[in-house]
Amino acid sequence: MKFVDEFRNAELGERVSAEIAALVEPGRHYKIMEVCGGHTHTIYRYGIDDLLPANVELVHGPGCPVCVIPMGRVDDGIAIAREPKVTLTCFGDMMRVPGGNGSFLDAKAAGADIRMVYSPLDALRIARENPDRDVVFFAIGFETTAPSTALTLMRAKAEGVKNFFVMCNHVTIVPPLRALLDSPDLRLDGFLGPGHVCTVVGGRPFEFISTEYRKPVVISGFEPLDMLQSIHMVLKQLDDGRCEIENQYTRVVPYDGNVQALRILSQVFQIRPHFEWRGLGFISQSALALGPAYRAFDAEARYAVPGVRVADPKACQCGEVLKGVIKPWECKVFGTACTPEHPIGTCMVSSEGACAAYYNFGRIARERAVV
Amino acid sequence: MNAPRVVHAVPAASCDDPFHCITCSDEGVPMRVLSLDGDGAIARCEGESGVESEVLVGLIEHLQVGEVVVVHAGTALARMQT
Amino acid sequence: MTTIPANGAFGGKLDERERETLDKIDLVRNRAPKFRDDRITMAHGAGGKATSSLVQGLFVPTFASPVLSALDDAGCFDVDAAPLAMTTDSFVVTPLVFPGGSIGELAVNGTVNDLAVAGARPLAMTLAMVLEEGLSAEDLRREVEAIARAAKLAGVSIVAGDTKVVERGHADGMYLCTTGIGRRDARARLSPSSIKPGDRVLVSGNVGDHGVAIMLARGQFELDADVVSDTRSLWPVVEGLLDAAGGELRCMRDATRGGVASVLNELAVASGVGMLVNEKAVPVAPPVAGACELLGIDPMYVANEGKLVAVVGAAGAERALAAIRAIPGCETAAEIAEVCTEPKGMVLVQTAFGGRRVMDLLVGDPLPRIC
Repeated sequence: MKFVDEFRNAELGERVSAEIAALVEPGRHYKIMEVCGGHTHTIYRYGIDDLLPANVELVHGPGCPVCVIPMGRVDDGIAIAREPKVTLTCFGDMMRVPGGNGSFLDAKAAGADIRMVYSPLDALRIARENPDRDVVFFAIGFETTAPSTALTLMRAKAEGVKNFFVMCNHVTIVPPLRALLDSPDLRLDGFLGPGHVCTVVGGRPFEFISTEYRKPVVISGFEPLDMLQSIHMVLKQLDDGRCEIENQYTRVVPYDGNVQALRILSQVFQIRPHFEWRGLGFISQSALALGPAYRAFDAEARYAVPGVRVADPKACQCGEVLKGVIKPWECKVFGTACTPEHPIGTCMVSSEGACAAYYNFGRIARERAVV
Repeated sequence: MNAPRVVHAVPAASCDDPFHCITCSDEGVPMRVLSLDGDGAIARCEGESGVESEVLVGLIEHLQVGEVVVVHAGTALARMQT
Repeated sequence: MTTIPANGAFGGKLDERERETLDKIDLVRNRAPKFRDDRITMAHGAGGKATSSLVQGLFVPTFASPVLSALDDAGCFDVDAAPLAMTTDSFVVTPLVFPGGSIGELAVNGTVNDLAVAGARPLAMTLAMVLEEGLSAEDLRREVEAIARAAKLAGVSIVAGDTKVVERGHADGMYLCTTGIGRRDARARLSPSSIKPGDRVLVSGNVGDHGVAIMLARGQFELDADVVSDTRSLWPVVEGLLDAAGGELRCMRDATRGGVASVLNELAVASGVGMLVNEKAVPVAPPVAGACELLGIDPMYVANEGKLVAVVGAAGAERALAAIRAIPGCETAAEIAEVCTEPKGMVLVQTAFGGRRVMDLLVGDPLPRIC
């Protein structure tokens, strides 16, 4: 039972790689952005750069929901964890994100009850098993993860669980894309669309990129062959002079998205007027909060949080990396003061952050053909 | 090799290691449905190499045993055509 | 002999800068690790970079022992011309019993294996037990019997012991601490400095079994699959290798915490060579591969308790591999990597898909309290 083997087939990969080299206009430089940590991961894990001509440059955008958590929100989470009887739960990558005064891991070492979980359901189970504790789930993720949080909240409500709360940091993908496209710093030729976000929201939310900004978008799967095919499709659009939304990941992504998931998202959440994205500043309508029907589960309603805006360290250039303006190794502190073991910024903390991915996997001087 | 059994819902990735975090990676794992519970909310699913887990499937309409779904954070988000 | 080609021609200035940055990073990485943390975290016990910073930044310089500074699995020295090796280990695995073994077996085999990979026949060991108040006599008896059985199988006698009891709530049932002593075999001329480009790297069987078995036994990960720990004495494998490979055997390591990947990194750094791993050749049992994929962990980083990594000269590689495979339980032993000149001190992986990536030491711990 091998679902993915054909999408990791080296021979097919070689073939698509050759087709890409043949398609590329000699002397022209292409910049294609992906906005999904999973794509960043695939690129480095499989060494995709080895299979592309040097003319095709892959740029990493703000695709990692951990990377965009501002330091102040981490401090807010720690403040909640320090309240009496609170058990704070979160996904693993959140444990090392630096706040103004240390990370969740540091707070845990100093005595706060902070636990790593693998899904929001784990957090709900901890709440059920520990009725004397208040269990708060620090929710992160794009529209791919929000339905999981929503389903968990609906369960908690149906079961009458009184000691489960969510501190919601879910963000949405489209507003930062628009902010990027409006930014004068960047000249991009095309986009790889986030395959699993699209299983929820579908292709329509991305149509503005082709209609308003005239750039091609190809919704891409996550296996290495998916990405090579998608890159080929972007280049083909550019070659043909088209700018459309195409779906390479048709085996999974319905163009209309998941209607049921979108329905429960609107039942459980509401859109925040604005939210701070690390490195990108405040973006309107870009994040979710618990809606009125779930106020009883809202950690921010139950606990007073400092809500302080903490400025990034001066040396940190995460913002520019997140926008794809500079490459990880172009950051002045990359690999020297900022390393995975002593990260300054979130791009180095999250395993799918562009800097961590490049440092851990991509630090090779590569020989690449120039077309 | 025995078919592995599962106890509870699918664990997401272990993010303490530098390779993977399910939210950051926007991960979706293909899994085949082995059985459905009474009200269609939870399914026993089998991933590649035979590892089994429980998955929330309430977001997939008319799911049948034998179908393949894409799972993220313990939740099935879409069918995969195979 | 494989060399990794240098950067190509496109965008001359940019590529030079990338190369410069990578060189600068190498300089920083090659500085002796300093121990700068305020507190001990779980990462320090993981066998990766944090552990390194502790060992090389604090213990080694403070104890200033030439034997210790060699950082081998066992300390080797002569007493009145008798070539001895000594090692020490502690076992804090939780749960105490897991598929394929228990803490008692780990204690014996772990100790024996540190001696074995130093080319020393294990002779005797000591055993200190720290027992938790309330531990049942049945559990204790079970472990004591397991220790006796494993010691008999491994051909070592327990020559000294100590027992302490700590209050309920400490020691998780029991902690075991051991010291082992062995006699270095005359045929063993082992040293990381003898590793040369062109040498081959062998592993004695499937990787990742022990770590996955522990995860499954913990239940908190909520998976259940048919995987057992690989705990066993490696001395028979070492004897076979010493016999077959003779002078071609450069060095061996026990691949415990941090897995095969950590061992390869240590060896690459210690000998100033590069290594290129052939991903397709690494033996992994299908349920282990599946569990690791689901949990997002690379099996190369998962702990083993009965696997060794051996670096052998190219001339002796085939013979050496045949000798390992002849030992029962080692049928899937394989050649997994080649030693290269570049990049020095780094391990690269040739992925099954065709591109390459770096395989670095971990910072923290995917699986705490694994042994």
